[in-house]
Amino acid sequence: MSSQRAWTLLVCTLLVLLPFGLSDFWIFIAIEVLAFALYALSFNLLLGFGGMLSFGHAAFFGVGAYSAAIFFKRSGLDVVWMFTLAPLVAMAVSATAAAVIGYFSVRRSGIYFSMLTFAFQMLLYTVALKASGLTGGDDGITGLKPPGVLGQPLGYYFYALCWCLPSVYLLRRLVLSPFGLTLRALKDDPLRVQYVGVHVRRHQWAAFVISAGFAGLGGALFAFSSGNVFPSWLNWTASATPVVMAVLGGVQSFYGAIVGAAVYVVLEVMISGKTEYWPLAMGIIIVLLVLLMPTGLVGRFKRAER
Amino acid sequence: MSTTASPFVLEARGISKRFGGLQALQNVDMQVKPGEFHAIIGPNGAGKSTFFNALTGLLKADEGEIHFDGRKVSGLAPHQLTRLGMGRTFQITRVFHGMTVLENVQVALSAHARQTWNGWTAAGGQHVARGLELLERVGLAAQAGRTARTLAHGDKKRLELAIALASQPKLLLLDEPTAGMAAKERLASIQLVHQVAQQLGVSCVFTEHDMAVVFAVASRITVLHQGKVLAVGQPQEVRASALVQQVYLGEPVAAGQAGAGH
Amino acid sequence: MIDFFAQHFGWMLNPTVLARQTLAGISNGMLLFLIAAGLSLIFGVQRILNFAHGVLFMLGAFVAVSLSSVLGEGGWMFALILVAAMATLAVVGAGIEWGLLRRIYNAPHEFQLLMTFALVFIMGDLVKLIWGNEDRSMNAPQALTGAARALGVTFPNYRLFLIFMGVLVAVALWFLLHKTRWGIFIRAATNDRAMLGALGVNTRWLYTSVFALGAALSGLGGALAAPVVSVGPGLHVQVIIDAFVVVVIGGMGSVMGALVASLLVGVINAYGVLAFPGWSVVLTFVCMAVVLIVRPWGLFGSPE
Repeated sequence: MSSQRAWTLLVCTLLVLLPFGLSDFWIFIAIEVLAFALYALSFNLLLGFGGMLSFGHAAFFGVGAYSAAIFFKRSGLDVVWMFTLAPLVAMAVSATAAAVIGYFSVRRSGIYFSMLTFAFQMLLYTVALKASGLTGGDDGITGLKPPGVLGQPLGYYFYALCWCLPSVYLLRRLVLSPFGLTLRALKDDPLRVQYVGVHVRRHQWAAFVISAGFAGLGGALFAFSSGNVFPSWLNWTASATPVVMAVLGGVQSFYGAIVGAAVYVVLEVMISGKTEYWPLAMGIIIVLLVLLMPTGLVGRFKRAER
Repeated sequence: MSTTASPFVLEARGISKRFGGLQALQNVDMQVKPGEFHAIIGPNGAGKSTFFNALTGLLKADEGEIHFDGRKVSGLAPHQLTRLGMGRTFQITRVFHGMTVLENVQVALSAHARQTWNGWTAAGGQHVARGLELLERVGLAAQAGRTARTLAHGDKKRLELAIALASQPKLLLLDEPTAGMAAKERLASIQLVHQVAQQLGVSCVFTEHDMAVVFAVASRITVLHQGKVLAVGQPQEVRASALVQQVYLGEPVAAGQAGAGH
Repeated sequence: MIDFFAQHFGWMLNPTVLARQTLAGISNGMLLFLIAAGLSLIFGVQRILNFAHGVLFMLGAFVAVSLSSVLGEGGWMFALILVAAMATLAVVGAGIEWGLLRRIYNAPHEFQLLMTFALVFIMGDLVKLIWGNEDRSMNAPQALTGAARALGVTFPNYRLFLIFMGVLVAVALWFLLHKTRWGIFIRAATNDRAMLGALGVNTRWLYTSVFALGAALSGLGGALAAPVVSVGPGLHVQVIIDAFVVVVIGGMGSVMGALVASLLVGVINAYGVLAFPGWSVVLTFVCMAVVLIVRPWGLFGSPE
């Protein structure tokens, strides 16, 4: 068995066994890590592999969360159908929003691309805030805890795992595929890559849409786990979260985003539990990260290996 | 688009381009026959780069048409030109620095095979044989696993050549292919290009400053001066032309002497 | 159809309301200008999009509030407060630039984004730590209370003062940019970076001073705004968004653009609040997106 396969098997086994050794509180954190890992991975697909810095990725996480929430509240389906379809609905809605937003955004590059994604996120934030008939407005949507087994920490953990593992697998294949290779080349030299026959914008658009879909999935999983959705999830202040996670893990590596998400979530929970000044702590952590460890945790580890 | 049989692999007719007050190109014609190694020369400011960019889709000419293999290609985007069979290299070498040498070529091969939308198969194992074959031709097979960033300048140029050839072009456009090289390297470098191009049946157009390089390999030369075509012909004709000598070469250049290059 | 127009635009037919809204729009625009000008300059010179600019504005407001509770409501005291706010923010700005931003000028953009966000988080919470969570308020100085009457319409004096201050700053900035050596360097950095090297400019000093200037302007804006807004720890969140919209529309790096766009946005917002209450803010984001798609360097910026 190759070392890659061995590692994968080990990690999967650990993930399956993990919740049995944790208290409910920590299982919820593990679930949050799963959701945010998808969020971070999807963001790093754009940044680390595609070279596109989106200031508006939180929009897709939020849209996914809201879509799942609204679907849950309004579709009147039974539990099995509901929770099979809700994440898919979330992904579809996020991807569709990204198809439109991406179409306009990839026409520009660099800072203008980033600002465009930012503008669109603020637009969606405003909708979330104002369309109270649909989104609950300022109060958001509450009461999203799944009924029955899924509402139990253990049950929901495995539910989330069922969505996460295949997603990570798909993303991993994507990154190693010809599409992923093209994306990396595109990031490296967008002009050169045109001269090997690649339509740059189309590929960037595709990456944008795929990335949004998985961010939406993360949002949906988190919405059900936390039991609510709020418009603040789409405010500009939330735009830093995926960036922090990706950079924390190391943007050059694929799995780095997962590590970054785990560290971020655990830090956030632990620090928020002790003080209301989590933003201050996060700011300090970011400063230290940027100045002292720019290659991220995985980058550091890789360098130590050599 | 209909393709009319044409004796030329590339034909530019009446290309003109103006930048504000400056007429960079005026009514430039050029014909490249299949199998040719065609040089575009001219003093600084003659319009070589502008013309080159117009040919390779980076610039839209104000007037005139460009035909590739009998088909009109004026105004097409770079990726479309590549798909039709036009490849190019850059004056400041452009390779994919963060990827390995082999991956660099695999990207091009993958794109040529229209596989860039495949999000499932592992790309690492695809086109390996063909990639290594191309690298072998340019003398880089031994460095297939190195990150492109770590290559020496000359090797980067070879890699770029391999990338361009991976798209199986009928015509290769090279922008100052020996730029940035020491005098000794230049002849070897252009001769490699010439050799590989002949092996693969690829026609070439290149801009160049170094006359020794030009006269060593060019089968035909177009001389530009102040945005217009000054002379066209075989190397001996051009070298012998009094007009060209007067305007450009200054003095007759003895064979083997390095010319006014960088 | 007519009902639609009547409901949303009918107020325009009332000259008092129209005048009042226009004035409010222009005076708000002037406050926006103070933030946007600094933001635009900083982007033009050191190519950093400073998300923390709103916090600097808020800091200026809090400093003003605190000082006014000590110094009172006299006219001269108010002038002193404005100067103090500017000075404080200039120092804070210089400190931030020297300590943190300096190290990331050549870093990939995601690091620059993170650093400015970190500043937002850190300074936002520091403000809470120092001043607490509640909203504060401050009175305008005695000399500027009351209102002027003209053509049957009432104009609050303080709003007129804001417009005056905006014009004053605009003129001062113009003078700075066009009549001083420093200004030449700033314009070179913004429009022609190669020139900057040729001029032999000490870029370190330039960057620090520009950031300090931007911070000071923002602080001035905050201090001026303090008597007319509720000064609380959430003040910066909305402010930076408006500033971004202005900088995009006006053109990143252009002070003239910031002025024109601020007034535009200020007035449109003032009208929008009456025409489409609640949803007018969507219009600003749509404008921002349209500008970025169609002409990303804005009205007065230069394509690069």
